[in-house]
Amino acid sequence: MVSGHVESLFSAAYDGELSPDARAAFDRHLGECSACAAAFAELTTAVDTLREQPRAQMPHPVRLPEGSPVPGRRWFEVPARLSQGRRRLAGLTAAGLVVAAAAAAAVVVVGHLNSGTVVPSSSSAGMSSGVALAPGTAIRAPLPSPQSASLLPEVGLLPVCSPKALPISKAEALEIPTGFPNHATEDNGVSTGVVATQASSFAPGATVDIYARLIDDSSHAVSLPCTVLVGPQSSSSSPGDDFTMAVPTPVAGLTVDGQPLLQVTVPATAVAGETYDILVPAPDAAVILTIQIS
Amino acid sequence: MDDEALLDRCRRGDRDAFTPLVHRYQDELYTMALRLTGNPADAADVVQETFTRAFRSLPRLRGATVRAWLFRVAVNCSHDIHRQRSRRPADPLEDSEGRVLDLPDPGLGPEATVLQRERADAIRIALLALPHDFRVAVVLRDVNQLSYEEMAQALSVPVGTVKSRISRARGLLAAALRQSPAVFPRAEEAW
Repeated sequence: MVSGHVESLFSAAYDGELSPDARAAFDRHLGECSACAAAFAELTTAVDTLREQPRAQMPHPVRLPEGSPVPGRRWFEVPARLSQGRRRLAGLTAAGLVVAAAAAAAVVVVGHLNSGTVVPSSSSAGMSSGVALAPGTAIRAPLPSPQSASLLPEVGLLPVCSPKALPISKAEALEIPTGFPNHATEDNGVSTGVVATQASSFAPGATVDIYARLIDDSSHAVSLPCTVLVGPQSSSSSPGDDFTMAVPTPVAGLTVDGQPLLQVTVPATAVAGETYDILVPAPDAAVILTIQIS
Repeated sequence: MDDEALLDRCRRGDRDAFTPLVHRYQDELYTMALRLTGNPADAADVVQETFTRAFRSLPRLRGATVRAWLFRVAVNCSHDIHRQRSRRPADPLEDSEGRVLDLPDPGLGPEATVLQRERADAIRIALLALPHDFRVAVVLRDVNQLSYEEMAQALSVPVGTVKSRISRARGLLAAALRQSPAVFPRAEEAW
């Protein structure tokens, strides 16, 4: 490109974005400066040529996933002992990890979206301070009756902690470490979540190492997300059964390629045949990985 | 029915409401992906993946138009798929050097067809030579003709950044095409 006095205005001029006065001055300059006139003509020809390229046609039909775009949902009440007077669920660990549920309706929403799970976003207005828990502490509370999603406001499990930024690339984050064969990855177009464990089956009281990463699809920034263990689900589960919520935490010295893993303990009260879900909440969605109790 | 009305129906779980959005945007997204990746098979995969992701997340879309959102997802898919497949085998619609063989327009005579092919080839090579952010900017603006505001939504950057990227990209595109006789016939005479 030939340098000129008005080169910085070429693109705006092409788009017709210059004011009448600015355009008049621009045209006057082109009349006096052959280099700018030639360069602007060159840019115009190049962009016109691009714009004149015919629109292509998708060569085969798009196949949509099975099911409804809005998944079915399961509903859990906020554990009663944590909602007293606060209408809020929070687990505050020694590592500073906070997981809070929505304030207003005092329910935690966990819904399935194909292979993943959705945790709808919620308002945090009016929240009070959280409840301090030791790392990996389990909370037990009654499981209420399922309710119609359409009848309740969209509230949910909302991690109010800031995920810890990790100095690794998206490709590195997506590369699940050797020895973590039980894994799930979900990309909702905004974020990609990855969660993996060393096995798919654990005994009651067992320690579970968790590989969890959250990647922003635009910036490709990688973080260690706020992760939650919830359960149990079993064929015999029914409204009124207890459920557990625990917050996996980083453990000193537990790393892969120098980056942290999370760890959580399966509740000692877990029973063979039950399943628990490890959730990685992302904006408007979450990745879910199920583990079996053996 | 406009995009927002269809989106409302999607949010209520109406699967059928998604199909008109696919028909409305598939060719536009395919054209964008073809210009970004330079490869028909990759572009088709981009469109398929875009609608798969959108189907899962569109009901929860907030703060952007459906069109801008779809372009945002498609740009991310293009980036991911093109990077993953950079070493894949040549596509049947490419020649031995990996160039896309556009099908000729049957309404054009032999000379015009050759010129059309040469221009398409020059454009493809010039676009692929641009840095990714600039390629995306000029394609969204001059292939898909998104507004500055739609581009800002699609790329999650301020409008000022959109304008500066378009400006820089157009300058680079013009420089890359300068020696193409199909685009600038005078360059041919100089040879």
